Amino acid sequence: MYDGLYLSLMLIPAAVGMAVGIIPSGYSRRIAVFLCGVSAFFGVLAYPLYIYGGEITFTFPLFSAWGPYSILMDELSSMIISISSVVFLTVIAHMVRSPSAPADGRYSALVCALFISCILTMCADTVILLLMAWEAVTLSTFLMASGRDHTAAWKFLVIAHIGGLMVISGFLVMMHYAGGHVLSSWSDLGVTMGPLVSCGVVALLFMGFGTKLGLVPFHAWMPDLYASAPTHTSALVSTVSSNVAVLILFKGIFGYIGASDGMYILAIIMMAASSFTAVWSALESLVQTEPKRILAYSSMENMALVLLCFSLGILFSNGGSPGLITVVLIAGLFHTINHSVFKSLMILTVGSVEDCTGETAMEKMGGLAKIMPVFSVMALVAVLSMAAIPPFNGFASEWLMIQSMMGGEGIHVTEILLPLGVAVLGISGMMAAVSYARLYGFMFLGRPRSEKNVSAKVDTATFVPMSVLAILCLGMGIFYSQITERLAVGVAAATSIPSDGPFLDNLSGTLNMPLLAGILLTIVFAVYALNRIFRKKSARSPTWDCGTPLDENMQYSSVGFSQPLVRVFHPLYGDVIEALDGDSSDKRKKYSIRFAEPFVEHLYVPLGNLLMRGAKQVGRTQNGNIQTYFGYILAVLVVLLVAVRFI
Amino acid sequence: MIDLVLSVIQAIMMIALAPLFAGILNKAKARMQHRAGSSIFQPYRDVAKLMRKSENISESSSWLFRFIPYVCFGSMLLLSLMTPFFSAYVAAPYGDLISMVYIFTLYRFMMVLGGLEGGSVFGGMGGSREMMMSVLIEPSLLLSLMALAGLTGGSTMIGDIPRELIGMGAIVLTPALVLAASSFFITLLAENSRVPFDNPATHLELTMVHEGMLIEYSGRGLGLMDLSSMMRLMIFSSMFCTMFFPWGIALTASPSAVLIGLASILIKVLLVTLAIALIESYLAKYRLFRLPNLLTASFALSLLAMISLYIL
Repeated sequence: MYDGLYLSLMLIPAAVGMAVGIIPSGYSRRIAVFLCGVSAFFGVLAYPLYIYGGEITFTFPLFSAWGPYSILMDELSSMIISISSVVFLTVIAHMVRSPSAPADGRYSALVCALFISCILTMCADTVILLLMAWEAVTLSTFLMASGRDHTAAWKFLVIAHIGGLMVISGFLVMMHYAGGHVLSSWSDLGVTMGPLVSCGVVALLFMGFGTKLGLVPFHAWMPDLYASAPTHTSALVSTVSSNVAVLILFKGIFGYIGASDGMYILAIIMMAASSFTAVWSALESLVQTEPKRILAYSSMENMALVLLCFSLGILFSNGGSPGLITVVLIAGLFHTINHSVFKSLMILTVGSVEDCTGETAMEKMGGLAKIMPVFSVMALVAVLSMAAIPPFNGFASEWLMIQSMMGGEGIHVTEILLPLGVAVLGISGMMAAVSYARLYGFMFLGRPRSEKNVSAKVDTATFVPMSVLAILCLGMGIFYSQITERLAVGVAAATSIPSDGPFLDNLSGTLNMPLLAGILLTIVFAVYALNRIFRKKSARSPTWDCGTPLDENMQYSSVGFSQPLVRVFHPLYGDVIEALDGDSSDKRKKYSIRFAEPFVEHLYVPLGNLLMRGAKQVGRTQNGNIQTYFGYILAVLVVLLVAVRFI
Repeated sequence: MIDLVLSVIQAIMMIALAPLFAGILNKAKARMQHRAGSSIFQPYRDVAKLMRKSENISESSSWLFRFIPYVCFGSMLLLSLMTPFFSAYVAAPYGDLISMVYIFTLYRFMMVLGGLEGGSVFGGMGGSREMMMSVLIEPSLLLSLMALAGLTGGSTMIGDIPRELIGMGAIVLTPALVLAASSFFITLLAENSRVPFDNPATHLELTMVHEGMLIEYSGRGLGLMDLSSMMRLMIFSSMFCTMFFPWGIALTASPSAVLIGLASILIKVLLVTLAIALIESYLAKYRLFRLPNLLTASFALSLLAMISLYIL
């Protein structure tokens, strides 16, 4: 009864904000942002309201040739809507006080549009609404990303549309077999579609949503977009739209089609693709010299782990217990929401640091922990969560992943692959941890690497949204078992997999996170307190310099830091394309290098050249002479007549 | 309740004995090199002296630098509560094998950040090399512990593993256990910065890994870091001795079982210590870029352990 009221409270302010933002006026930006914040606030209430009042349904009083536009918020979507809205709210709150956010009201209008389209995609109940909203997500991201570098945004648009094409075709095939367009009535389509078609559709969805999640080789847009788009665009793209993509992919594979044993070869291919993506992006993140590029590869790595979980979910349905499938799916979904929290925190921190220092290269930062202690604490929380350090949330979900891989023992064929899965998780996780240590160490620690002082003043109001996210990072880690229990209910409701409580309960019995965190913190603070009580004098002196006064460049550089690993894995890296000058007045000083992304160089560039050559060949036929065109028409007519005659 | 009491006693014993075994290791190495060597109690004196001294901190370091020794020491204390020593009782429903691996990662992560503090070149170099090794160590550590858990029926509970292994009798001596144990031993050497991965005795700038990261520490901070690295060796040795070769460990809390457990663990840890001393005396430190060969060998061993578990 109140469903319509709630939805209008959530969607109308943002829609009004969209309209207001377009008006060229000094106030329009503030009003639009405020309205979007109101919407996001109501978005946060989605899950509490679901618990209180059950499913929220609504049909818009609009009709189309492909059915009505209707909405259904079930357990899982309302949960992810709530988390995404929290992220949205914090990013918006940060945007208000951030000096680098575009001052244009139209940017705020686009933020509103992104919010509406993300929410609608997550809770769409008809195919037409889902596909349109998904397209709107892509378009608004594209418009929001057109910052310093337009080519990055265009790359995104092209690749996202290739993905969009796959998603649309996948959904149309499913609609054909389901015979209806109401998504909530779709279940076990795999039975009617047969193994071959369902494999095809799953592959289409996997690749289609994979383009948004950075699946290799569709990841080429990601680092460029993150590096060139405004901070808040990157923050929203990497968190909220990833959440959307993962949720719909999950529902598509496990809710609508339903995993069956016929799919295990596809699952193995998917597993290989996502493992490769995870390791590849972790490797690439080690050589990046801009913090935002590191974060782009880190998003890829995290999302690849989620995709790995989903492919294991399909693999486990070939003989695994329902409990096991549920756990691996929960691990994937849990990692997705954790990722959205810690990654948005990290991107906001990096953005703030870039605003304050005016630098985007890591080689120019350093020693910022002394200048911006609060940011350094926030960044440490984010980095520890990203590196899966207990007791933060990244650890909780990776722990669940490893546990579910351990549980796959005894399943025919599958079990041989699981050690490899654990190895992938170990290698990519540790490489990612190295690159986060590098990211944090070279941004915040050490001595300042450029003479420039911090120009802009830190706005203390931005600490509020960031500390909300930091607390969530810790809280979601400590109370992981409560969250996974809720997710288990959601997964059971969204799929036809029977829920199996004992498996999860047994797992929760092996890791008592509140106690672990409590003991760790108690020990650390006890040692600290003892040290304070029996304190000794401490003196400050310069860093040990072997007798030579150290200048700002006489310390380890971030490029040097990752060199041992680059040497070990060197065949996998591309060529050095650019040696960035430290100082344009002195050409001898080169502090930084950039590696070519091998996929761009060996896949996209040749592909582009091939297309250009083909286009030139086609171009020859268009010589602008009217006689030639008459000739073409004649030829077509003859061919058609002959064809009609013989058919 | 008995778990809690025993695990606290075990943790205290491990802290108390860690410098002793470090001293024995140094003494054994010295004897093998025909030196008299310092007393086996020297590490206690070193730590005690460092604890009494005042600190000298780099001007360029931030708040994190002072905090790192506490986190490192705290994480080692937590692990010593989780590791079985003379008895299989650990108060560990709060953590399992996987969380142990990740707590080691916490320690290493923090140590590397500490190395980058102050902007010293040696710290960065040590951190960079440590990180290269840890990328290759971590998966094999994870896999060898997973193989162990797989061998005992898939449970990652720490306290269950010695119990299950002993309960299985002689069948437990499968290739999986041997492969996993050998992989774990290589990991032990690498994690604790031992020869051939790193030379703990060196203070030669260009070869330092572990010591390079500690170069800016002094006084109490250095004392805590040194004590934590001794504890790390102790924890690794007792993991090796109680989880891969648990025989002799006290499964009940009766006084006789505890005494046997205590005697057996001391002998086993002593043997591991002497083995390390032997390796350190007869092997030179490897060149940095030869290390990946050894580390991938360890990785391959643990992967084989895991696969043999399923095939055989």
